[in-house]
Amino acid sequence: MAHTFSLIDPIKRSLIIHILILELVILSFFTLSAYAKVDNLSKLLGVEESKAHLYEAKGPDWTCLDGSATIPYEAINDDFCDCTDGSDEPGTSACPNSKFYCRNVGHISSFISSSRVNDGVCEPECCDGSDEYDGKIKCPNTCKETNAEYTKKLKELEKLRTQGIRIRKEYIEKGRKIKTKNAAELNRLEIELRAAKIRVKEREVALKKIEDSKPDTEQLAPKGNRERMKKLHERIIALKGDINKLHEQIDTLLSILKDMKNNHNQNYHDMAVKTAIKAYDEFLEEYNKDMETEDGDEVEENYEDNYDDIPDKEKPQIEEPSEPSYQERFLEMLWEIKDGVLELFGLQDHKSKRYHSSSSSRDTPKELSDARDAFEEAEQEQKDIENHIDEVKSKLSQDYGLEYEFAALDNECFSYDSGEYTYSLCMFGSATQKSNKDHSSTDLGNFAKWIGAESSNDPRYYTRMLYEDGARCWNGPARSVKLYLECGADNQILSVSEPEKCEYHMRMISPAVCLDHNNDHNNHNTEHKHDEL
Amino acid sequence: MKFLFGNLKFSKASVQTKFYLFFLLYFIVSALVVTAVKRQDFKTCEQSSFCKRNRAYADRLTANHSLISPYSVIQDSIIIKDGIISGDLINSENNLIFIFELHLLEIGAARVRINEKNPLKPRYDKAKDWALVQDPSYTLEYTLISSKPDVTSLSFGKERKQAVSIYHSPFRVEFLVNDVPIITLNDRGFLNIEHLRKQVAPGLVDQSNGENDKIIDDENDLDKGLWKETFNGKEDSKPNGPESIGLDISFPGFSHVYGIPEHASSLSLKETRGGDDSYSDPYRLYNLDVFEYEVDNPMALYGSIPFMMAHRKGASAAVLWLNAAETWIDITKNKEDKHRLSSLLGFGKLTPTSTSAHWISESGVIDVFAFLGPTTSDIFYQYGLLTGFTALPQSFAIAYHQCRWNYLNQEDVAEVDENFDKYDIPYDVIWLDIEHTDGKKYFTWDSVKFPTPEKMQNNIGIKGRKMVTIVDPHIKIDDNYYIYKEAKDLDIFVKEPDDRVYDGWCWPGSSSWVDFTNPSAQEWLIKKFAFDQYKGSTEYLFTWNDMNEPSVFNGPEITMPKDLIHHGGWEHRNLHNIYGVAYHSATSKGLINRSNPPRRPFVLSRAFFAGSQRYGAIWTGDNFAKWDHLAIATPMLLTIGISGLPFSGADVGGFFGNPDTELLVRWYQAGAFQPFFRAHAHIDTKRREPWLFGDPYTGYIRDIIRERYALLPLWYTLFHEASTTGMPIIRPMFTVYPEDEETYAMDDQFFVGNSLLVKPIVNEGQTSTEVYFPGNEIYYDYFTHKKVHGSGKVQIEAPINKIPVFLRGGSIVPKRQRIRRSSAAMRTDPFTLLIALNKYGNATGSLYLDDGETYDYEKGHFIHLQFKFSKRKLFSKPLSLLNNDENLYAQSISSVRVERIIVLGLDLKPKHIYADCIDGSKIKRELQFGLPTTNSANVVIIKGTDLLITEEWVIDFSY
Repeated sequence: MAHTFSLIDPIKRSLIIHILILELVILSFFTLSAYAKVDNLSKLLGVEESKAHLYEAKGPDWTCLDGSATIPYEAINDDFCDCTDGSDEPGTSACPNSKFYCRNVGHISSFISSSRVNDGVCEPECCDGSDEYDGKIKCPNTCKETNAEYTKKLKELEKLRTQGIRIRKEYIEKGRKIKTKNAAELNRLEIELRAAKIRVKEREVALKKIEDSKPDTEQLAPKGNRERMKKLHERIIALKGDINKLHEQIDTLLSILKDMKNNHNQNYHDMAVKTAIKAYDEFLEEYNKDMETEDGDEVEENYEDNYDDIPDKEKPQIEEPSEPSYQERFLEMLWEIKDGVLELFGLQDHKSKRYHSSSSSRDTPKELSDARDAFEEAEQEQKDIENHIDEVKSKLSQDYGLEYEFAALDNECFSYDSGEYTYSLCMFGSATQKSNKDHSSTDLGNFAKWIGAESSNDPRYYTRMLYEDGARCWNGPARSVKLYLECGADNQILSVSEPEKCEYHMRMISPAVCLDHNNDHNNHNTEHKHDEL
Repeated sequence: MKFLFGNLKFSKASVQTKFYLFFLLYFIVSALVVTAVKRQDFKTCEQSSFCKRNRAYADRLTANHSLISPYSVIQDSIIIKDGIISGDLINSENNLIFIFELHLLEIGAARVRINEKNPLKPRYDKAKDWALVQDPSYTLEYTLISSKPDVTSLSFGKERKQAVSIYHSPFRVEFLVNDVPIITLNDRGFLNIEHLRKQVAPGLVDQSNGENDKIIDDENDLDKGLWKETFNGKEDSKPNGPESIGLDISFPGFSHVYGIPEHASSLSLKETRGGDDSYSDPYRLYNLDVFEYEVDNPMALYGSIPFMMAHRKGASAAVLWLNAAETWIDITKNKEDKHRLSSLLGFGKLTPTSTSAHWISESGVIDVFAFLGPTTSDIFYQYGLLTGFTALPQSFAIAYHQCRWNYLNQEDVAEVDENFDKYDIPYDVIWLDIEHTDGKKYFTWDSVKFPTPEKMQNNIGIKGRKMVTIVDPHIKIDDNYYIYKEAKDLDIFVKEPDDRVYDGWCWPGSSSWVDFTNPSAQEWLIKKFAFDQYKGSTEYLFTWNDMNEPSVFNGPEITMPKDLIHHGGWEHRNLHNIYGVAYHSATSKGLINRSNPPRRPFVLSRAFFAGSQRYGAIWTGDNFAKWDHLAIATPMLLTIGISGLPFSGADVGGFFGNPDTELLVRWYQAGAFQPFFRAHAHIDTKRREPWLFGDPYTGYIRDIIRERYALLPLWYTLFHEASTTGMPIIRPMFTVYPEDEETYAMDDQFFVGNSLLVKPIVNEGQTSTEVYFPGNEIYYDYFTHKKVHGSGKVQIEAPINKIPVFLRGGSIVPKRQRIRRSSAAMRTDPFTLLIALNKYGNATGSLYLDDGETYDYEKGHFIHLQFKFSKRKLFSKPLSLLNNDENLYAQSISSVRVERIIVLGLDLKPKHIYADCIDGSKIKRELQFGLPTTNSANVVIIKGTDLLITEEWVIDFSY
């Protein structure tokens, strides 16, 4: 018995839980054989078939499966833990670390933790009800029903899975094509770029030549109507762009304020916050009222749509309305705010940027102006090509998955209506939350990286995406989204939750993650079992 | 920032202005970083006019020794009858007459009441209706010792060991035990009753009462706030004018006083009027919702128990200042040799030998109970008889609780529940905070997040688990909300002075508060918990009362204005501190009444008062995930525990902020040894369920939660003891070692019952600590069973996976070592007895068990065992009242065995161990046992006996 110490020593280190084991070690040295038990349980209770032979009586004593101790055979399943590995109590709750085997005839067998044996709860993992045998509760055998349901569900899932795998193959094929196309496109653009650069050079030279030959610029004739209309048209487009931008800014501000209203810590009792919220509520009411009665977008859209169909001379002159509409007043105000704020922070000289058309107060000789236009046009063309190249390059460098299967989903958007909000997510783009009650929309972040596993070699790597750097929460972090992808026959967001402030979790099914190999199949099975049970 | 915006062009449109305004505010607001309590939100004594006046009154008397208290007994007015000594007092400064009564009580205490003889209108005197179980009965066991013109003395109690002397001029009351004074009232002359009066025009002195308030008139600024006062822009109309009461209560010869929770402060109370490490403000009792409170501070917090205990070698005494208005307590310790040269020159440190408390309340009558001990256990019992003992909780309530603001929806709840099973961590209760409701309308569910609450509760209920939902006292103003509508129709809301229903701001926005001091409101709320009333509630659902100070976001000091009107026309100022217990009481009764036969309730409350122990548990409110908040939890809970309210806990992990892994592990270790064990987290924090930290940390948390479950039989036994004797569950060192002066101020270690000595680790990076082992006794490491070498202060290793816990020699601890997922699943599990012998080879312990749910135990359906180890024999002796064949509970566990007996510290190695059932029906039989070491009897473990827990037996350790 002297070696007891050597067994105890390593255990001393982790004191708290191991005290139980310590006792087991000590107790494994009981040598008295006469011990009367309350109930005589089968020695095979809780033992899986393949290990049954290890529990056969081969004499008066029995050795723990880990060899740690020899105990009387009678001590197996005597509801007292003797072995450090718990092997002497496969059928009771006596050992903290043993597993109870449920045969589940007619369904899939399973193991449960010893802590679930005779705990008064019918474990779903034990459809045969064998885990509760002390009479506290009667667990019916439901294996037949469970199995039927399981098989049915399994079939359904298999069907979806098969479909998913097929679609994934299409995605891979499509991805391959996209990749080739992009590579070709890049090739083509690079050639174009070279040509464009030459053209810019040529026109620059030509322009210079003209400018040099006409050193003194003369007063020019008034421009034609077409010229004026063109400028005005440009101005309208510029204004429209600004309006849109301002709309976005309003939306952003509204969402910031809305967040403040919803998320502010009321315990702060900060009157400044409360006043702001009250003002926001009042503003919102009026704003919504005005937005209903006066749909400015539509008017503009109509005008824009028809503009090119109207003969030049009939195109209307832009007139100032006698009474500025609410929206215009509002926009004017926003401009002032925007400029004021930007100016405040030294970001912009507000006087210079309001209108973009101040340069055309004087005209130049036609020849010169043509040359200049031609040069500018060439320059613009080059810039466009460069931008396009950047775009294609970024697509080419994007990580579209193991077999480029996600390329097919690039920029595809999916949404989910949670009742209060509609969430939308564009793959490799951005995620947003839109309120179903008002106009406010919140940026939840942009695609940053794959986070399914540490290494991209791990098949799970491409099952989880991170979208980050969304709008910052009041008194909290920037919003982010973790997108969890599961195999399915189509692309669909199943649920959205916010387990922590400003950190969103989306569960989505997609064929893109339906892998077709065996270990994945196993994973799938466990997953299914989990759902089922 | 404002001037910069001034440069911008403002349009005339009002919308525009508003837009600018909120734009501006957005910038200002986002720049705000609020990190801690806003002290300026809460009053200091200086800002509370009655506190300031009474402090000034005290200062004047202290400064001028020729001044004495103007109150004296009117000659020949004393009448002694049926245990009551009564008489009239006169205040010589204004010639007003007061009546006093001194009641000698059967419970070993006395009561002193002083009121105006002819007040303009009645003064508030209903705090007793909430705090006391019933009006205490008077004892007839007393003898008049002397009745001289200047003093009246009586001895009382069966052995006449207690005595009281009433000195007539000035009025002073002295309580003595064995002829030694232990409590004196008005010793320093601070007795001050501001009589009710009519307001006179400013500048005029009210002549009707002679020299009215001479002292106050002397100091001009003290006149401010008599009839109106303003704090942070909020006005208190004070239509009754000044009506405060003040009195000094001294404990002669005592250098330590304890109690008056709730403060984030030390167990032994600090001085507040100068002295080493003193506070500058008095301790304040005024139930308040203090955001991110500071530690080591006498500021008021969520609850108030105006109970103070004093202890020294050979004597303990205590008082209850029964008043529910805002109360301040100044504490001074008088050094006897104050004027000696040595002290003036600063030679050496002097031991303070007397402690005096100056109690100041805004209104009401003087109603003081003096508990005369002589031991701390006597006081706990006396106080318990008066205010009630802790209600025996359901057994799940003392297991582990998992809370977060907020578990989002049913899926979230199911996932958390499942993860506890997956990681094999036991838990009993999952909690839902305010977000579970439909728009913070309590008694409702958010139908999107919680569409099928019954199903959700049943799913966890079948595993033996429970759920708790929050039900707060603020009621959203919304006619479509049935609770609001009913309360409005019943006219039970708290009112403005002009009779309009009060409208304040809380979680749901505009809200009103039901007046739970109104009997109709009590009756109404009790009914609201019926299963058919509270839709979606099941028998698995229990309740959490939060914000019941009450917390009012836009009110003065984040609570109700004092001039609001309650039932009977009483102003809120009179009863502020009982609002919380009144709500707690109704909720608790609601849960009892919803089942037939009734089941024990579980209601957690944040606000509390004397008597709250009858209704459920309390917690220390919104603490912070910081080490100093972990550290302060121990003294806070010890203080609350000795003040009659032992079922308490601090949120594990800290409510605000994100604890790092080490802090969280240490907090779980400390929390596992608190009576109420709940993890909770603010909505803005990261998730922190135990499995999120990975091994080894998840393992450490799992280990200590499992240890809590293993010790549940001990905890339940201690709760039973608390429910019958008033003994605290976790006990300050001095209550277990009352003669050891070293322990008197010790508050970083404590006993669980009398058997486990616990010292939580509360410092970052700390891996060893000094533990004080009192009593020249043997102590054993609880986890390794090894003897501690040395006594007194010993350095102890405490790696991150270990909290220092020791078994005190002489104790027997009942345990259940089977790992289960919930306490309910352990109900028929076998027991382990852990026996730690003292130096004489003896030990005792007990085990109380019942069904843990119903009130059947009141009819005797429980088992209560006394274990005794003496002369190498272990006895188990049932103390139950009913025979096992009539005892339904005993029958339900009739096959439950003692599976393991561990004996620590036997002097000799036993050769054989025999068991014998006392009734002789079974034959004497030999038990198997093991020894961890060959030739020592340090640890003996008896294997799996078939001894039944319900039967009487003896185990004989033969040699």
